[in-house]
Amino acid sequence: MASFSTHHGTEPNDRELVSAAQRGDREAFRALFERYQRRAYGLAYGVLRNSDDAMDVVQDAFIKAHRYLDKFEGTSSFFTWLYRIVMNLAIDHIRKRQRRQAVDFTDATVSEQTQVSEESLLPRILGGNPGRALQDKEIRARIELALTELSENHRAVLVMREVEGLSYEEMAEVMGCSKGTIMSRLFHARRNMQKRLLDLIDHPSPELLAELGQTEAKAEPDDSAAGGGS
Amino acid sequence: MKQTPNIDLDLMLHLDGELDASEEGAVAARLEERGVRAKAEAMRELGELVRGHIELVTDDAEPRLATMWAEVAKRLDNEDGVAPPARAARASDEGGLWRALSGWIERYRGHLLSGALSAGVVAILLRPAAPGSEDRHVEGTTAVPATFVSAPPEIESLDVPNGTGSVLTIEDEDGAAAIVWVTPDDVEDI
Repeated sequence: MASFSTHHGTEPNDRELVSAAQRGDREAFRALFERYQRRAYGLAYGVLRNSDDAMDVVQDAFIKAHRYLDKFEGTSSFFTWLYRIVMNLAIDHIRKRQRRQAVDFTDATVSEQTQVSEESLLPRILGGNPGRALQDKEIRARIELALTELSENHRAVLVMREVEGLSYEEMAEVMGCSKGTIMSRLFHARRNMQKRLLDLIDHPSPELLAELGQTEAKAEPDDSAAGGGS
Repeated sequence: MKQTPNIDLDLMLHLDGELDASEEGAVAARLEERGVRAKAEAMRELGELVRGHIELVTDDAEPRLATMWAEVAKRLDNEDGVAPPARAARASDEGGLWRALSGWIERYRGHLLSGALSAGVVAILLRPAAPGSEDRHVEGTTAVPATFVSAPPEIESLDVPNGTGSVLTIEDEDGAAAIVWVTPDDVEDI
């Protein structure tokens, strides 16, 4: 941790650090870096699914944040602002490399899609012990694969919500879209993750399997339709 | 949030703390149902899985993250032209007035160029209107009749990545000159 601290000797808050960094205090910027680099990496990795790429993006994001720090007016929180930079760089990265494989589920309005996806969230997975399940390499690989099969926008909202606990409002700010779009992306991201992880359920009931088959059969045509919530 | 009869969506909004207080009661009542409760539990489990997975991935990256600052600091030194405080002091001690001036010019190059360009354009536009411009001459020099600008500058927008651009075409008696001006986006709008 950088040695920056306020004259009170307490841990400085983001605003104090940003203000000091704007005056050219490198240690203050370092403190911000150390405070947020893990979280920035988590988001970048969540979107990119590649450690090297995520490292590059995090590094570039902090360079960019430093470069434009004097233009940061504090109308949003620093981490929201930083996340926005990370997100944009990550998406740029994907586009440049033309790596995108997954097809977005549409971001059509939720009301349209939920009419046909009623009961889409499945009952319990993994026997109710996700912590223990994560110790299993195979299960981690399955989660990784399931995340990879989502679009970057869906991964991003899932990571921001589940890992960082961002509100819909904050996510909308980071991604530059409406709260409704965030809600739609999150809903479909979760639903698709659960569908992809279904085979990890310890003892799926026949009713559950029947429900999934019915849900998938009904949902697919709607998912492929173009929509406009973004 | 929008009211919808879909329990999955309401459940998600409830668990994410995004429901209005007036809508909370209805969802809370539905949580008494076994099936709804199971869905809520499944959502929590999924969240834990994603959270746990990303945490583990980030833990794996910790050694590399720990060394990243050195790389960032090096790039900051190289890129922004501003030395860290200790180095700035050394540069001053070494009589680096020119270096300091160069650094300042480099840092504020955009402002300087913008000012110079604006001044140039204004000067060209005002030149024909300047009072007594035709009679003015300095002793020992030859008076040259003022030439009117044939056309006002043409300004066109230019699409550039991560910024806005303008092309200014200025015509005078010597011909036309084009100036391309690029302004990076404000990072607040990234």
